[in-house]
Amino acid sequence: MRRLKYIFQYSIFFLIGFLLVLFATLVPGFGNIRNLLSMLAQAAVTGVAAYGLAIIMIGGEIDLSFAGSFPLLAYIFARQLSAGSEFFMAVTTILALGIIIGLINAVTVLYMRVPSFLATTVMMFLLTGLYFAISGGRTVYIKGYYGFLFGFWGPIPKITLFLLVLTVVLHMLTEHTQWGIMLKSIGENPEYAFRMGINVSSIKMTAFALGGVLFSAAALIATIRLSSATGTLGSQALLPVMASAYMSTVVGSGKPNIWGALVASYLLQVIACGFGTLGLPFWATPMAQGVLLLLLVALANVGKKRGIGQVSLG
Amino acid sequence: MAFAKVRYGAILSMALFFLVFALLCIYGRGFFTAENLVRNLLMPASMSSVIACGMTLVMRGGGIDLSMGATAGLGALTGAALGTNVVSSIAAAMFSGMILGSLNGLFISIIGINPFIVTLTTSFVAKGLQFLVSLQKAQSTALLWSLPMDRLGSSPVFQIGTSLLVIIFLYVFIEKTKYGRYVKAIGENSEVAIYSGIPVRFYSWMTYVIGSVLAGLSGVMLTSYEGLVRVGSGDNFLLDAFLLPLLGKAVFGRLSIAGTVFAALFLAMIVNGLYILGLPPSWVNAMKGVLLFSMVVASQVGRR
Repeated sequence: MRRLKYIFQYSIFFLIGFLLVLFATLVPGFGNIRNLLSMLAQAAVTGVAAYGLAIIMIGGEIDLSFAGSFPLLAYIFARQLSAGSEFFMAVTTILALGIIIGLINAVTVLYMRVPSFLATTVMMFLLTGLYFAISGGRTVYIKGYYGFLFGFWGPIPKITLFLLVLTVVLHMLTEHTQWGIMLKSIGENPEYAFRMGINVSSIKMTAFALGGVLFSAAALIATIRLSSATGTLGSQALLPVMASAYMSTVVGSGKPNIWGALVASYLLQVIACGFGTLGLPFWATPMAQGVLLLLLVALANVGKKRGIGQVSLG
Repeated sequence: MAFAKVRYGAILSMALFFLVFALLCIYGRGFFTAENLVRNLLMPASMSSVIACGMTLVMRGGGIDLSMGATAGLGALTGAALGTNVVSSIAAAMFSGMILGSLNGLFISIIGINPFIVTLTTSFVAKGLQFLVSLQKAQSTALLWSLPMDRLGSSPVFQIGTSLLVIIFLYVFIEKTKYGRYVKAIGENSEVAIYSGIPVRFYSWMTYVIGSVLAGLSGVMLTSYEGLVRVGSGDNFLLDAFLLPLLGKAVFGRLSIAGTVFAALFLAMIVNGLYILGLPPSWVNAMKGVLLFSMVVASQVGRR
């Protein structure tokens, strides 16, 4: 059984390999290196947001508010650009807003003691409502920035390089720094971490803030990729990001981690891209992603004794 | 202990309810008319209280169901696509809800995966199925209800009557039967429930089934009132399903059908009042969000 568990733990790699071979045989040109790299570029939105979620999950909390902050931040960003604001000024504003949202979540969770999934789901509803209130659901278009992120440096899309650098940096941060070790031990057992003299609140606070920055960065990438800010950004991102962060626990150690999130978001992008080129309808993609997610999580639980799934409402 | 405390929250919110009601009667033009009270207050309240009562049951059993909005939409679309008459429409809607609910329950209660991730996933599956049903039937993302169903949907007797039936059924189920006590025990402490010999997996599974059946029903109630089912019709319901039980909990101190129904009435009154006083419709969800946020925070004040 133990050896079997080992196989199940790495089932995600078998799945990616299987899907890549499947799509490569069905669709000509799917398997060439340029397409494989560009799928990594398209996975950037999901990946960056999933890093944010994974970092918060390492600390034992969760943050779903990104589904609400995505459309709101994208809208503000696009409006700023179309109002003639400086590009880097707009980016800074959005990142700062991301930190603020993260800190609000942190305060609600840490000092008002609302369970994090509840607090951040509520924040998701709140931000979505706010988005529709100020935008009326209108789409705002921007132009001229696509090449800036999605252009090529030699054979490699710039955004792919950015994603890989970010992956390495965040991996270092979470696995090889004092902060990362503290965050991990808080996630393992907050009580013990507190007794060890770790300042639980401040570490979690920075994790939420970092998550907020990454969410807003993902919102920026999504806006630039679509050259527009639409209201469906958030609901479209919700499942893939959640799925990637959760599936990262399936890869390797059984805890959320950065590399796992990258692998998982790449898997989801392979599914999306493969389905798209096969001509399957657009709504089949989230269904397939969802079913695979459930399957992988169920597989990862094989051989573990478990009760019923429950959540605490506080 | 929570039981011994006087429910200042409940008394205060009752007082607030009547205060707001009185203020609206004085300042809201046309608020205190039978037409407005029945059509714009009781009917929306009864539609959302059906789905919210289902969510209350699920939450009482220690779970949560994020797929209810999508389930409501799927139920409504299935009902509109398959139903040939009123009875078969409603039955089809509730049946599709039942299938989704039992899937949720299977993954959550039997396999033991976190309800959050399971129901989020099924919400996307349900959304996909909505497209499937709708495109199969009509090559478009919207279906019309049949005329008798449309007529039934706009009758207050049907809407309020159905929701009263559901409320009474769930109230009796949760508060007066041993099965309801099992569900509550599971929600309080599933470990203890197991050792007490309660078939925990089955009753936890059942809460999801009942919750989703009610979600399907409420989808029919909502869309037959509008006469049209779109893909994504039920999405807005998720906010209500989430908000009302927690609002009720904040007021009554625990999740209860009475609290949820009170919250539904309160919210419908506030929304109606704000419309009458001239709030733009796009702000209503933002306002609900702010309300939800403050309720969730308020319910945690004074806890350790």
